[in-house]
Amino acid sequence: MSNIRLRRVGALVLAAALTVAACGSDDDSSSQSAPGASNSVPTSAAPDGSTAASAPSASTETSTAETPKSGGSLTVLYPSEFKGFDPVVGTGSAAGADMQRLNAVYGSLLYTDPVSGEVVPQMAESLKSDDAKVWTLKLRTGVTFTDGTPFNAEAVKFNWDRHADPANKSAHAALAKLLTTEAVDETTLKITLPAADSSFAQKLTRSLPFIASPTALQALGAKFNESPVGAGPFKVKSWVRDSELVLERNAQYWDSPRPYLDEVRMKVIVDEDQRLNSFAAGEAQLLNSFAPTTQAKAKDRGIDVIEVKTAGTRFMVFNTRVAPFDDIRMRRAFTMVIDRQQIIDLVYQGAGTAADSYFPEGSRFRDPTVVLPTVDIPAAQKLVDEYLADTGKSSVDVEFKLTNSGDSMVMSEVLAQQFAPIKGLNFKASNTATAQFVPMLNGGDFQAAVATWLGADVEPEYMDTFYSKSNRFKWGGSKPYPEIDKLVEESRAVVDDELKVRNAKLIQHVMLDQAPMAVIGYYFMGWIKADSVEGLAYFADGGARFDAISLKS
Amino acid sequence: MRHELRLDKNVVVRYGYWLSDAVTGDLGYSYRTRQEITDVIRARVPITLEIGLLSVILALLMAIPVGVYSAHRQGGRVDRIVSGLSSAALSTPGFLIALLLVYAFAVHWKLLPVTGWVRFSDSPFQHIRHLVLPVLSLAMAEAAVFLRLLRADMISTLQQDYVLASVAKGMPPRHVLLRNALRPSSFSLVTVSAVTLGRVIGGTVIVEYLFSLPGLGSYIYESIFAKDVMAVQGAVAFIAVTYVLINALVEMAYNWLDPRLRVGHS
Repeated sequence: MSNIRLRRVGALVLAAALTVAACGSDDDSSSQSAPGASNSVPTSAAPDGSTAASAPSASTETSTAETPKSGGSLTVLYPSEFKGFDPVVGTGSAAGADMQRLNAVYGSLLYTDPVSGEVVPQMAESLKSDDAKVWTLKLRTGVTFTDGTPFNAEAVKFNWDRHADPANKSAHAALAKLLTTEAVDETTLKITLPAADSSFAQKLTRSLPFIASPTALQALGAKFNESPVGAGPFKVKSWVRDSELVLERNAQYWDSPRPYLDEVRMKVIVDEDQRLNSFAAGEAQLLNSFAPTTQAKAKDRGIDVIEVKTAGTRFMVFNTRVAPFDDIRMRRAFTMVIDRQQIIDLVYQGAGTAADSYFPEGSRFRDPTVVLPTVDIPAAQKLVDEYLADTGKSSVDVEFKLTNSGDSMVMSEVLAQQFAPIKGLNFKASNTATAQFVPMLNGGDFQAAVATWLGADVEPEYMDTFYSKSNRFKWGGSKPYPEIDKLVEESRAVVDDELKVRNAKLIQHVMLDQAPMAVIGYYFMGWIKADSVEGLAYFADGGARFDAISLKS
Repeated sequence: MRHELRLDKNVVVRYGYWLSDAVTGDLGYSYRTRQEITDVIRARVPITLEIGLLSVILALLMAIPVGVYSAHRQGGRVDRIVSGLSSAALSTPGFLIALLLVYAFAVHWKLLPVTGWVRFSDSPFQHIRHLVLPVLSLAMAEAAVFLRLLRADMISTLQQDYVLASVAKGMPPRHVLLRNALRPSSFSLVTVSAVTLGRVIGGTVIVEYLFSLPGLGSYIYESIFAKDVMAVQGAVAFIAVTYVLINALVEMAYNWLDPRLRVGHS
């Protein structure tokens, strides 16, 4: 039994691209229900932000006793299509959507190890800095894109400049615009930040890890989105949008003998039952099931679900830029209404655990003195009444945004039921496609939303969430929490892991007081795989790394 | 962005811009995928059209012989069974029929694929295998409608004097049914089939969603959830125009079907 299965503390960002701590302890962690899973997931050694030079296979993949077999075709099922291959178009976040496809074609310059939380190089060789302000990205020698263009420092600079160009409307322009880059030589890129930021490496993994061929980008223009040219483990063979993407092995991939698979077929099946039917009929070997309802249905049908325990949480987040959540009383009231256990039972069919704090047991970021409020309807009503009296309104409208995943409709009903006892509150829920959900959150176009955080480290998303000067999220920080700002800036100014952990805990105390969000439960993602699949490895956001997967004969 | 999307103009002006572009075949581009909507429709319509056409043809192939026989043996055992089955098919939602077919043919017997689409040029055999369940799902409910309609019209036609005269002259039942009665009984059927084709083209959303077919229906579904307004608008406009065109073609087909109309015109 491959002990690759032993370390599945991967992570998934289903909706919001936010991160929570690396999970950790032996007894808490991973995959107790996974077939053949062990109990071992090491507590994360924090990324120090200054270096990222370990071997790519260091910790997410454990070596198998046998050499992985090369060849074969793998079919994997996804619930939704993604926007496209142009790195300025893809969001590079949601594990079920863009990240896995983009990584298969481009590889990632760097990625965050879901177990250790360390930033690990893949297409790059290393990323180093002494002062967290000036960084040196070193590339591998001799790597080329599949069209023969050199994968060099100029190519990276070209791609990042493209992100920064407003004409391209990149979702990652915010980070790209901050960078001053200089191609020192063929394989060395000097990056200067406006100020020291020890979380830069993690930010890079989330926003700018995919490098496309500059030659092809210029030659193909808008067509590049459908016909990409990268230097990653696979090439696009064909793509029928909303149906099937067929990838074939890139024989020139730098990390030979990877990828092991000759072909990966990524099929989109929107309907949950049909995805399971397709898997049950043997039409696919892998199914990315982040919806707990899918996991529950799979278990009902006797299909094993590999539970990837993460430090992630499901939560409702309040947009403090708009009424009524610009008022702390309304935020506090909402945290006192939700019955977490009922949501876990009814919406997620028992999958996950009701939250008692911001981080689960075993996380190094968990602070035992931070205890979430329990249900208290009279107290919540009192706060709402005070708000209505002060604003002179007889009632207040609140719209919750959810994704269009299978469980969201049930969630809408359960929340409506839980908020029904509150007089003067008009509750409404609406659904948004997963691919649009993150941009919607980042753009701040909502009052309240239900989202999910997963990941391996508090940097960068968790810290950015409530940091008022963040250029990443346009919500949560309209009424700056000065204490949070100070703590974030303090921990980012220097490379000091202990300080980061300490400040992350202090931030939770501020959050407990200010109630910028209400945590629902701790969450895991599930993978469903055929016995023939080996080497399943993850990125910090839960996406599978297809360069590592192989099939048994 | 606002300027580019002309959101700085009022709604009437915006509609004018859209309409003038639309008549020249420019339906704008999807902000979700950054593709030209006309290109997307061009790529996806053949799939939807193929499923729609085949399902209507299959429904007719199922309905005509059974309908004719039921009318011929009105009140007989076969007629009663057919009547019951058609009631069941009519009252069962399309998605349920589809799922039942999937469980039986794909999951249980593993004879056909659960979902997916293979181009004819890639593999004609696989192409047909992937078509069977979606087409059958759509055709079953439509066949029930056609059958009932044809049966009722046939029963009425079989009581016409010229049919009785034909029977009295000793013409064989096959000749009476197929040559004398079927053609004049099929006007309603032709009208409904054509309207059904129009409706099926716009209404394959559920089937395309369930079977993951990259047609126009699944595009509309995805676009609605993504709030991709331009895509929905373009696709719906296309379907509306197609629907009107099909109905116009049906009007013309009447002349061919019924010589009396040609005489009337002349």
